[in-house]
Amino acid sequence: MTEKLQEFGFRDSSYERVEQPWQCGRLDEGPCPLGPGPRGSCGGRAGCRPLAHASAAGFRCARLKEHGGPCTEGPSAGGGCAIELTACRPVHSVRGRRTIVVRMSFAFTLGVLLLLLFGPARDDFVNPGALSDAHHRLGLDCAGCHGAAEGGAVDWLRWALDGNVDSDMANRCKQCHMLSDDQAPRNPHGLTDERLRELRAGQLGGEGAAADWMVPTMSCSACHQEHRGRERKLTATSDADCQGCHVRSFASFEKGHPEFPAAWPHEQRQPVAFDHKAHYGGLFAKGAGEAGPSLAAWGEPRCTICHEPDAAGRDMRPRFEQHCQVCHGGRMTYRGGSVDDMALRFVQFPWFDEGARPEGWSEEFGAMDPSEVSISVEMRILLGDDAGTYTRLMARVDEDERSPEAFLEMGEDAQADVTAFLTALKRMLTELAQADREQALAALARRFEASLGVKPTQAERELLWPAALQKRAGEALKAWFAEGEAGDDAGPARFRVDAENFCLDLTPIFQRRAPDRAHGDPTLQAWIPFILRRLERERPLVGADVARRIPAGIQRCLKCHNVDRAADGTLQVDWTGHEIRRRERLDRFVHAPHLGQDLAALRGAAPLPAWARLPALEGDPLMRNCLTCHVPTEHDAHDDFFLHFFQGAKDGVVPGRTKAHGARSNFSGISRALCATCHAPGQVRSDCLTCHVYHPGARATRAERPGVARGGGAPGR
Amino acid sequence: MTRVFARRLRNGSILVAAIAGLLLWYGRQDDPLDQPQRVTGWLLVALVAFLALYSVRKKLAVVPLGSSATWLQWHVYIGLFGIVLFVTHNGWHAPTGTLESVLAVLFVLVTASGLGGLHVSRRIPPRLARRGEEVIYERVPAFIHRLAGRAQELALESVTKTRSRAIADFHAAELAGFLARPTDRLEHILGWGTAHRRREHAMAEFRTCLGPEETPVFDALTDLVRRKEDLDFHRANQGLLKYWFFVHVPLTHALLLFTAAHVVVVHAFGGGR
Repeated sequence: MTEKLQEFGFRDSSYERVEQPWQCGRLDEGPCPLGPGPRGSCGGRAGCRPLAHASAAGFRCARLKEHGGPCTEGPSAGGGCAIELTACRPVHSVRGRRTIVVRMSFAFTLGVLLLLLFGPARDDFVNPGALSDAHHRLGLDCAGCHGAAEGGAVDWLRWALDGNVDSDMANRCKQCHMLSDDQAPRNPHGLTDERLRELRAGQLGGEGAAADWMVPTMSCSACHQEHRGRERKLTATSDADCQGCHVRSFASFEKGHPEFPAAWPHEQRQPVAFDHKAHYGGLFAKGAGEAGPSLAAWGEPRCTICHEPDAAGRDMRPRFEQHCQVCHGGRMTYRGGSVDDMALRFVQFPWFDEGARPEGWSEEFGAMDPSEVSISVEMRILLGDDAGTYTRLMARVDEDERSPEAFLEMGEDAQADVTAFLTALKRMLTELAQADREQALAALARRFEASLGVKPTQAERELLWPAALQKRAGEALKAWFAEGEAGDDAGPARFRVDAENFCLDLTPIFQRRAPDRAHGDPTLQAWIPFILRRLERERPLVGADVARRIPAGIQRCLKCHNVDRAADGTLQVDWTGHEIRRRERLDRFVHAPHLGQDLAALRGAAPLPAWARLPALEGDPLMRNCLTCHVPTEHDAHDDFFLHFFQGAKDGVVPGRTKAHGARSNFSGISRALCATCHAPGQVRSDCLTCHVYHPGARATRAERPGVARGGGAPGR
Repeated sequence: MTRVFARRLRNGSILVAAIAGLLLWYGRQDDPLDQPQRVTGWLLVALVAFLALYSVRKKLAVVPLGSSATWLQWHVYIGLFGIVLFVTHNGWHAPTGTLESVLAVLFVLVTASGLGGLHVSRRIPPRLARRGEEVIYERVPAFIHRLAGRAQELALESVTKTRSRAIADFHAAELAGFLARPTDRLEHILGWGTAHRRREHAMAEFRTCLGPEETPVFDALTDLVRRKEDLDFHRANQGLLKYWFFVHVPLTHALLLFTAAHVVVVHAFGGGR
C-alpha cells in the first residue's frame, strides 16, 4: 500500500493557519515548528517553545510528534530550546498576497479615480454622452447647464446632497429658453399653480379641476433628455410622455380622448367680441351704410373676405386695419356717445373764487363754477396721495347742492381746503412737467403707487406719460400758475391744453384718422387698465356701477376688446387679441392644412340659418370647408360683451382669462368625432402634439446669455 | 431529486420570477417621470453593496450572521439577478460616457470573474476528490520535496541493486527536473494531459529496455512520478480556487469606488432626479 502523504489526524498533522499573512520559507523541506512571526520575521530558529511544568519547577520540551517529538537534550533551565535551526526568509501566504494585491489595486483605482475627477480631463470623464446638435453648436460647457460644474469635485457632493439640482438646471434652461409669461419652470407646463388651475378648469370644462395634478414638480430633463448623442432630437416626445402625468389616460385620440368642451371653440372667451350674424347676415349682405361703396368692392359676402390665413397658415383672424376699419374707422360709437368722450382728461383745473388764489398765481383765477368740477379718474390717479384734498373740498357741499353760491358761502373756512387742493394740483403738474424726464417718470410712478398700490413698469411709464404729454403739462403749468398767457390751443396735436376749459387732454389717435396708424392709441391702452384698477379700488365695479362709473369713452373700447381678470386680480384689457390667447393655450390649430381638403362630405345635413344662407357659402368649395367645422346657428351673439363680462365677474362666472364666460356664439361647437374622422391611425397624424403644446407661449431662444459662449470654447461632447 | 437539485430548482425559480417581474415592471415604465433609471440605479447600488458584504461576512466568522453557505447562495443568485438589473439600468444600451463605460466594463469584469469563480468552485472540487489523495494546498511543496527525495533514493538504490546506471540516468535526464518542483499548472487546469502522455510514453518505452531486476525499482519510481502528477494537479486546481479571488475582489473594490463616483456625479449633475 502506498504511503499517504497527507495525514489529518490531530497528532499526525499540525493545524495549517492559512489565514496568516506569512508562511515559513522552508515549505519545500517542511516548515519549521514555530512558523514566522506576525510581521514576517522568522520564528523558527528553535525546535519548540518549551512549556513550564505546571506542578514542578523547570520546563519540558514541547516539540510536536510530526517534528520528531521531545528532544533528548531538553530545554535549558531558563526555558530555552536546545535545538537551533537555520533561519529562513518567510514568504507571503496566499491570503497575504491577496491582501497586498487588493490593497494595491484599491489604492491604484482610487488614485486613478481622483486623477480623473480632479484632473484637467474631469469634464470629459463625467460627461455621460454627446450633446444634442442644438446644444453642441452653441459650444456649451458643463457649467452652462449644471451648477455643479462651476465648482470642484468636492462641491459635487454638496450638490448631490443639496436637492436643488433640478431647480438650478431648470433656471439655467430658463435663462436661454423663454417659456411663458407665467414661468414656473419646474411646474407642469412651466406654468404657475394658479395658471394651471385656470387652464384646467377652462379647458376641461371643470372636469377634474378639483384634483391637483399628479406631479407637483418636474425637471426639464424628464422630457428633454440630453447627452444622448448629436442626432438626438430634444423635443421628440411620445404620447406616453403626456399620458404619464395626466390623470385620464386613453388609447388614442379617436379612442378615449376627452370630448371637447361644449360649443368649443366658439363659445370660449374670445379676445374681441364679434357678432357674425349681425355683420354677415345684416350689414355685409346689405352693403349699406356709409361704408357701402367700400364693402361693395369686396364683392359677394364670403368668409374669406375677413378670414385669411396668416403667414404661418395657423390663424385666420381679421385685422382691424384691413377689415374693421372699412366701417369703423373714426366712427366707433357706443350707446350713442360721441367720439369726443373717448379723450382722457389728465388735468381738470377747477376755478375758485379769487380769494382762494394763493399769492402770485395767475390772475386768471376767475370765478369759475366749482359745481362743474368733477375731476377725472385719470386725475385722481395722478394726484396720488393728494387726491384727498379734492375729496375733502367736495365733502363740504353735498353733491346735489353744489353751486357757485354754495362754495362761496363756505367763506373763509373753506379757504384752507381750497388752497390745499390748488397747491396739490400745482405740485402735481410741477413734478410731472419737470424738464428731467427720468425725474418726471419717477414722480409719476410714485403717484401711481400712492393711488393704486402698484408702480407701473418703466415701459408702462413711457406709455402713460409720453414726452409730448410732459411738454403739454409744462405748458399748462405755465399758463395756469405762472405769469403770462395761456399756451396756444394745441389744435390737432394729440395732447392738448384746453385753455378755455382748463383741461389737459389726450385725443386718441384713431379719432384723428392718423394716416400711419388708425387704431390702437398706446397711451389710451396703457391708461385704461389703471383706470379700471382705480375704479375697483374705490368701489367694486358691479351692476349699474359698470355703466355709470366707467367713462363712456372707455366703454366704447371695451365694446369689442374683452376685459380679463388677471392672475393678480386686476382687470386687464385684451388689446393684442389672440396673441395673448395663443401664448396661454395648451392646444393649437393650424388652418392651412385643412383648407386644401375637401371636408364638405363631413358636414351634416342641418340646413343653414337664414343669415348664413348666401349664394357664396354654398358655391365656394373653400367655404363649404369652413362650414363643415364652423356651423352657423340661429343664435344671436351677445351684443354687449363689455357688460356681460362685468356681470359675469360679479356672479363669479369669469374669474379667469380662459374660462368660458357664458358668451354665446353664432356657431355651434366642433365635436371630437368630427376631427377623429380624419385624425386616426393610418390617416392623419393624431398624436398629442398634433393639437397640443407643452409649453404655451414658448418663445424664441435668447440669442445670447451671459456666461455662455456662442460658437466658442470647447464644444460639448 | 437530490437536495442540491431541489435547492437549485427553488432558487432558480425565484430568480426567474424576479427577473420576469423586473422586466415586466420596466416594460411598463413608459412614463419618464417614473424615473425607472433612478429606481434601478439605487437597487443596483444596494445589490452591489450586499454582494460586497459577503467578503465582510467571511471575515466576521464569529458573528452569527448566517452560515457562509447561505450567504454564498444569496451572493450567487442576487449576483445573477444583478446582471439583468444592470442591463435594465442601462436601458439595454451601451453607455456612452467615459465614467459610465468604465463602470460598465468593471461590472462586466466583476460579473465574469464571479461567474468564473462560481464555475471553478463547482467543477474543481469533484475533480480533486476523484484524483489522488486529499492534500492541503500549502503543504504540496513539502510533499513534492519528499517525493523528489524518495525518487532520488530509488535512483541510487537501483545502481546498487542492479549494478546498472540506466534508471539513475533516466531519472537524472527525464524525471529529476519534473520531480523537483510543481509543474504543468496550465495543463492540469485545462485538462490537456499532453505532458503526462509524453512522460508516460517515455517511461513505457524505457521500461521495455529494463531487465527483471530493474523493473520493480522503475515501477516504484513510476508510482512516485504519478503521485507527483497528482500533487501538481491538486496544486494547480486548488490554486485556481484560491487565485480567482485575486481578480474578483480587487475588481469589486474598483467597482464600488466608481459606483460611488457615479452616484455623486449623477445626483450633482441632475441625472438622479
